[in-house]
Amino acid sequence: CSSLTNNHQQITEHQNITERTQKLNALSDWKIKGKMGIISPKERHSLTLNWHYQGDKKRQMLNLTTVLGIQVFTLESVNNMHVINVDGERYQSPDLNTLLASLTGFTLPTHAMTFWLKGLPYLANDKITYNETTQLPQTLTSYSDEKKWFIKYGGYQQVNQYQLATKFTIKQGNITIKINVHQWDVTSND
Amino acid sequence: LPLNEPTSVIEKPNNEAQIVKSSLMKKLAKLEYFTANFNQQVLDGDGNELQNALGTLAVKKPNLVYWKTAEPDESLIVSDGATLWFFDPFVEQVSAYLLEKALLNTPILLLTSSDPALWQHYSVSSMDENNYLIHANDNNAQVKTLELRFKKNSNDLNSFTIVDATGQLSLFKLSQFDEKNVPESALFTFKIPEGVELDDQR
Repeated sequence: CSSLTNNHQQITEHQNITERTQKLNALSDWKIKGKMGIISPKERHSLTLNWHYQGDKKRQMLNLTTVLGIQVFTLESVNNMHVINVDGERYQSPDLNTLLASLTGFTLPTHAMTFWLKGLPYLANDKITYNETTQLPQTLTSYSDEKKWFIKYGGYQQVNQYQLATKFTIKQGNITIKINVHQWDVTSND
Repeated sequence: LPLNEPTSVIEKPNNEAQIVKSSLMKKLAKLEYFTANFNQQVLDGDGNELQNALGTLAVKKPNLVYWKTAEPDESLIVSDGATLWFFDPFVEQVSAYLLEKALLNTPILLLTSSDPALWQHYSVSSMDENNYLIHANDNNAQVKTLELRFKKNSNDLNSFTIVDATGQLSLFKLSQFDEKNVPESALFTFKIPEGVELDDQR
């Protein structure tokens, strides 16, 4: 079976957009280890982010933990059932967005993010701008959930056959989500 | 007829635990201050590694802590004896808590104080005289246990492990443990940097 590997290198050769998009569309099993910051007018939080997404098995596990190692939030999805553990309580629902909004006060667009983090559009009318020289996504604008999301990409690295960003800022209204990926684990088709 | 203090069996802390607790407190009483480097590994309930961080820790009695995580991301925790400062450059914010309020959820502060009023919130069990397990008596404390592992018959700490209410574990392996040189007092003061948001929880 395909194993997850995580050797990051500098990008040496450039992929054209269609080639890159094709490869990333086929990447359905990945894992992220990094840090996520949420900045809103009321409060700011910064947590260690661990996210293991297995598209073809329709499973995901997302964990948010403090710098001291104390778990703050987990989301576990199997098929279309989502279970969230937060503040010692367990919540379950097939409708992830409403569940997230009811618990966190704002919608973390986790499903859309599984596309955005790879630099792929989620909705057909998501608009991506590409860097002329590297041909890599620089910004993405989306109207997911009737809200305007603006994403900036940076820190691209070669992770196996994929070219993936490691620095993201996702802005929606007065909320900014900052993600700093320390390690991408991706399926290598060896 | 005034009743004197009813000491029924349940209330009286069982003797064995009391002995273990005072032996730990005696051991820690000898640790006036120390500095060390740490390698922090966070594991989820199934043992998957969630985080691997490097940093330095300095502690000085009473109630002074300097806890700097350097890799992979910078963050800083300072107790100046009155306020516990949590500074996170990633979101350009520092949170300030009253030290006594923070003590319950950061048992590591037990290393900085031999105040019995603080210790009464915790009970102590021990596997042997080098390993102690501190349990929070308050069962909705975020941190369930703090395990302290000392080098063989010495006051030098080898490691400490925090287990949270969900069973997630944070293991801090210490190196370059120095209990000889007094940490500089400048470590234990915190000045809010330019442009950083203050989240004052005091």
